[in-house]
Amino acid sequence: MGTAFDFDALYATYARYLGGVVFRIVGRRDGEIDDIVQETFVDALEGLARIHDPSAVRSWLVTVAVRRTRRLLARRRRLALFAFWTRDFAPASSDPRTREPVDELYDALERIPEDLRIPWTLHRVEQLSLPETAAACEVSLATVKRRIAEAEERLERRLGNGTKKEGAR
Amino acid sequence: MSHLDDLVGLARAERTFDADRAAGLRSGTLVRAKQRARRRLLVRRAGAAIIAGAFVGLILLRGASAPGAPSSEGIGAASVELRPEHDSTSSVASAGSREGEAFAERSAAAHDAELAAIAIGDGGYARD
Repeated sequence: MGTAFDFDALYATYARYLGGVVFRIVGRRDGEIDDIVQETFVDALEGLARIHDPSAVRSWLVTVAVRRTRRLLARRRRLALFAFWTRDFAPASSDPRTREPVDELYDALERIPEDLRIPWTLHRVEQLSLPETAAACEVSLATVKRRIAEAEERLERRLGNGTKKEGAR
Repeated sequence: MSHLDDLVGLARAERTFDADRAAGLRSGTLVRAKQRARRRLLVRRAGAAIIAGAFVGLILLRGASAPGAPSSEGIGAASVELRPEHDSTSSVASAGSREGEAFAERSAAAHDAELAAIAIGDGGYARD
């Protein structure tokens, strides 16, 4: 396809990493995560020929994945309007016996806006630097700092010290 | 260390997307890439067909008004030539003009007769 990179090597190096990034932003929706990873690499097949700096590949892939994740979250938000009417009839989505402590974090993350959630997750969990996070979110450094700080504050408020989480919701 | 920091540590340590799963997606990715490339090719072909159709249509329209083709002026002249034989309005007008001429002849004859009568009258008066 005319790319300057070996697709197999690229896939082997970054597919797992990208899957993890998307997982942490989206939450536990396996099929959708696979879709985003696949679409990101399809974009990569077409767009990587334009990238000449190998060190920029990872951040470029993350940017594409974040963009696709945003679209998915927007679609999910629209569908949630219809889901509201069927909420009483929908099956329970999680079994308390299989819950893990970290699910508490994902639950809290789902309750804050994605503009705050995505930069916070990339920076705090994925440990991207602030400039990398700003590039992935396609916003300025100042904006990303402000959003991360706001997300941190909201999560602290929501999660508290871990003993009164039900009351915090 | 806050509770949030603890949870962040847990999230970082969590296995989210293992190597087997990533490898399993690889073939699907390539299939999608091919599908997308095929779709793009179809869209390009459709676009090229539309542009070619528009171009041919333009040429045909221009060809219709070329020097060798019957022009609107020629058609107008033909209609002008045909008009005296086929135009009912002009035939009505010509019939009217024939009646007018006859009327004028009759009027002239009556006028001459009147003048003659007057002349006779005058002659009579003169004779008187």
